[in-house]
Amino acid sequence: MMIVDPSQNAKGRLLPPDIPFRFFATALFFHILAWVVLFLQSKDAGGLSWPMLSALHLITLGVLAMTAAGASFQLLPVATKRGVRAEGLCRLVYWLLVAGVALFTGSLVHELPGLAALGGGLAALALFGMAILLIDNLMGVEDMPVATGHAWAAALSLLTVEVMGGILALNLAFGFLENRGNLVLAHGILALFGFMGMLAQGFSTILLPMFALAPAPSEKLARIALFCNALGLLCAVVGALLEVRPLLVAGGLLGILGMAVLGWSLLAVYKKRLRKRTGFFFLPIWTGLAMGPLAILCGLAALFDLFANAGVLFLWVSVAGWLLTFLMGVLQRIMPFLASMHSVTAMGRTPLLSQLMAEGWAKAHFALHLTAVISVGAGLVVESPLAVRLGAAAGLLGALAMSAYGLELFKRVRRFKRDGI
Amino acid sequence: MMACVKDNSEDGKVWRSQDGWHVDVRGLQPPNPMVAILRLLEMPDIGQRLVVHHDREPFFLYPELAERGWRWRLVPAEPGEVRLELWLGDASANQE
Repeated sequence: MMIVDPSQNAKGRLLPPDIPFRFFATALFFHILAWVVLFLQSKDAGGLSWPMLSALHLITLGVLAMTAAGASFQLLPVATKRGVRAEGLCRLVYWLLVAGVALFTGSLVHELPGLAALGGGLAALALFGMAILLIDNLMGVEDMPVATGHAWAAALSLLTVEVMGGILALNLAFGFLENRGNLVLAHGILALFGFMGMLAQGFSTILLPMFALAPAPSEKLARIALFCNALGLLCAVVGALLEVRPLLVAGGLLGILGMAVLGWSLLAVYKKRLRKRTGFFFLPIWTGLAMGPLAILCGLAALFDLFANAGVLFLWVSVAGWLLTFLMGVLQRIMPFLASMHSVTAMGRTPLLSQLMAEGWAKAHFALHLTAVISVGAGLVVESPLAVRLGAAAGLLGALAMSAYGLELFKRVRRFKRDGI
Repeated sequence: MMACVKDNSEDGKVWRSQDGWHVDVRGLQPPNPMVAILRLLEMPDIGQRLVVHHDREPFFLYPELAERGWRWRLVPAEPGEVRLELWLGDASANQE
């Protein structure tokens, strides 16, 4: 029997555009705020001072988690063919995350532990909601084992990060942990390499070939990468919690191997791409991916005390060098795609991707962002507040350029809807 | 008359019937369906119409089709299938 209404078969419909774009727009705002905090508080940027923690969490929760939520709510249902069953929960996650990030990071700047604990709790609730939505969407999906495998690892990591983050937030207020260092390290590894890293790597197996119009990467290689990454993560987290250095080293080496295998498989399909001229937009994505193993090398250097402040550098390269660079690169491509898909007119017309992407702003963002990552990283290692401040200024200008990119996209879509151009 | 031209795990099944070219990309790993369809559209003898048999609505394909001057619409299909008709429209239609 033929289905007469074709839309009945078109499962996994797009969410209303306000859902993904509210996450993206807010991420761009927190992106600016993170650099402002780092710029103003650069004298305290050595080690894990409270203002430094505030800037880092503005990036991790305010930018990375915010973008990941918006992107996964929209992209995962399209990929898994299972629609989001609770749009209201998506909106609740958004408001909880905005309130949680604002309260948590603001309280850290002003060193108010009680309010920081409350803000951390709200953010934890938001991420719990996100984990529920992710798991609900992944249940029963049997095809796409590589992407969903990474997404499962990310969702389970997120739940564990929740528990650890909750304990750390409560400890800020009540100070009951005798040695919080182990838990901080495990929390950081799991949040960056488990939750965000797995999500980024899983999506990259679909998004990168899609942007380049290349075939899917080898499933065998992608499975090997997933296995190495997951086992490495387990080793590193257990090693951090129990203070077992060989386990941490093994986790780091497995992580590097996993990233290298995935990078190799992506490079192999990139060479077979249909789109011969990929333009500028792949540069931030490849740069971000290359910084993942570099971040782990910094972590290994910290384990063996190879140079001063290697631990802080590990954190910085992981957050700003690897994840933020990669995610901003993806965002610059995915926002025009989504805007185009949401702008189809009744006459079946849609704005062209090439007309929506303001490449000049994207290039400015990347140049300034890279300057910021290097300058702040160097400043943290040699303990130079001036280098951190200069880097933060470059990062702030880069974040403004990224916001201008988003604003220009919005203006071009509005012009298309109004004038049809 | 129906002639199968291609049937593999990267490009899906391609055949030509009386109403024109068809491609069945069901079961392919993303983004292989999108790449297979766009690769087919670049073939000189594909003509101006292509029917796509898909297992999901290919949202990410639409901007790429628009970029190439192709139009699309959903057409009636068997349960579990998303069927699209693509045709080469006036490329300037998107710029009007």
